Amino acid sequence: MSGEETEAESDADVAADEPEPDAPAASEAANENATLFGVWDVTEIAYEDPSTKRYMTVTPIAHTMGRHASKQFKKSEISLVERLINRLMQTDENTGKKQQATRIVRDAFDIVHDRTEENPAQVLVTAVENAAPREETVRLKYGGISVPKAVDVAPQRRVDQALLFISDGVASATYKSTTSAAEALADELVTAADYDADRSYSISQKEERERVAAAAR
Amino acid sequence: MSAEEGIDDSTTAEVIEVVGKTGMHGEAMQVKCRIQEGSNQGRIITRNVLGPVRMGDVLQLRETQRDADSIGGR
Repeated sequence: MSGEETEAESDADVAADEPEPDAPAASEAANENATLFGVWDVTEIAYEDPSTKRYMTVTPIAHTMGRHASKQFKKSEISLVERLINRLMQTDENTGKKQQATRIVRDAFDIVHDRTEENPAQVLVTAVENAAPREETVRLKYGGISVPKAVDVAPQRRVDQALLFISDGVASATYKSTTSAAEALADELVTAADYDADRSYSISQKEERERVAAAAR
Repeated sequence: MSAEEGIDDSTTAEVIEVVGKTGMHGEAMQVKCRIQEGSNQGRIITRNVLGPVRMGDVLQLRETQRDADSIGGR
């Protein structure tokens, strides 16, 4: 569903060269008026970053029981919100608690809306764009010693990493503390969307990665 | 490109060809991409990319000077 609207607003040459998005649109076209969690409108989300745009979809459905693990790139057809929910279910003791994770995200979205007066789905998209690293390192071995080498990051991996950072930040903010998970997630999303490097775990992680990469060129 | 706020110092480049895998464990892909903006717009450079890429993807390059060669490993 991000297909038509985003391609229309992006530059013409980009849109022309882009292969057709693998059409997840057909099924979602039926429920145009549906809203995420019954509240949030997801049709008017702006994607600032031309790179990750192709790999972020936001649909009203946040629980699809989709099985996309064995097909490359198919996971990007899942709603970004659902991917965040799935990420939040890590690790071990939380495995499989999708209902609980969904509730956390829904509560967090309410908190985000109270604080920023914006569409929380838009806040999430901006947060992911801001928290996506652009450059990373791979380990190389030159005769016994390992040397890091800087490489660029593929757009899908950038989205993956951003979601990982966000959920890691939530996990570390809630573990052995009185902060509720919804509160922590709302904090993380708002600060990441503001690009607040001092308070957002995901932004600081991203900058750390890029700093290491810049040193390893 | 269009309005960009958080993305300050990076240039976009579109992947035009995936050359193959590089890296010690084949974890990186070598890719040819065309720079879409900035001083050397239209130049085609080879880069190493981590993670799944395919043609038509847009990369954010933090610098465009480097022309990466393949990452060997012993």
